[in-house]
Amino acid sequence: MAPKYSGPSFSDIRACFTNVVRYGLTPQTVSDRGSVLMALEIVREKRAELPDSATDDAHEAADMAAVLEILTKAVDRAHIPASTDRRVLRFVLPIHDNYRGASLTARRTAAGENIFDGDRVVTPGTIRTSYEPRALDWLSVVLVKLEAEQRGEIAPTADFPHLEP
Amino acid sequence: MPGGAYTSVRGAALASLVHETHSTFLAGPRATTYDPHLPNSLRLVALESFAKKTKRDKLRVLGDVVDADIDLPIERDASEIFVHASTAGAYIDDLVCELVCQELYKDAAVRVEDASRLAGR
Repeated sequence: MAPKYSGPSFSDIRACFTNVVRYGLTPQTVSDRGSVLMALEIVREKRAELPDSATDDAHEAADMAAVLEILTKAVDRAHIPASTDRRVLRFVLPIHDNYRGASLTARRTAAGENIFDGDRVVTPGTIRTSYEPRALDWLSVVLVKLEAEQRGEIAPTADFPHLEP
Repeated sequence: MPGGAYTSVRGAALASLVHETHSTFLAGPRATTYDPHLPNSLRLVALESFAKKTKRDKLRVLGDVVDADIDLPIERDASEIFVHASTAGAYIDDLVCELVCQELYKDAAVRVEDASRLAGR
C-alpha cells in the first residue's frame, strides 16, 4: 500500500497562493514568498539545473519557469472542470504573460472582463469574494493530488463541497 | 421600507448606501444576471452597490463611518469579515459591506431571503 502523503499541505499551499495573488506571480514573488511551491517535487523536477556561477536573477528565473510550468499544467480542464475557475486563475495569478507585473486590481478587472464569453462583466470585488477563493481552493487541491502522484503517495481525502463543478 | 428602519445608521451617505442595497437586493433576481450559479446575496449586492460609487461618494460613506465611531459596533469576528481581503481597498470594501449587511440583517425578511438565496432554495 502506498504511504500517506508527506508533501506540503493543502492549507500551506492555499496560504501561499493568497500571497502569490496579492503580489502577482513574478520571479521575485516566487523567490520571496513561494517557498511552499518550491518544496513541491513536481516543481523541483521541472527546475532547470544551473551552474554555481549562475546569477541570482538566473536562479529566480529558473524557479519561476518551473512554477509557471506546473501551474499551467494544473490550470487545465483535465484538473479544474469549471471554465470560470480556470479563467480567473489565468488572469489573477497571473498565468498570462501579458498580465505579469500588473496590479492586483488590473488582474481582477481583466478576470472579470474575461470570465464569461460575450458582454457579461463581473466587478473586481466580486471576482475577489465570489470566484477567486474557490478557484484557488481548486488549484491547491490539484497541486496536492499531482504532488501525491509524483511521490507515489496517497493524496489526502479533501472534503470541499463548494468545489463541486 | 418600514418607517423608522435603520435608525442606528447615522450619516446621509451611509444611510443612502443601506437603502440602495436594500432596494436593489429585494428587487433583484435570486441569482446574478451573469452567472445563474452565483446567488445574488445581500453581501454581493452591498459590495457591488459600493463599488459602483464614485471615489467622492465612497469618501462620503467612509466619512460617515469615521463620524459614527463607537456608535457602530462590529458584531462579527474580523476573521470572518475580512477572510478574502488582502489589500487596503479590499479591507475598506469589506468593512463598509459588513456595516451595511449588519444593519439590513436586523430585518427578518432580509435575513430569510438572503439565507434562501445562499442555500439555492
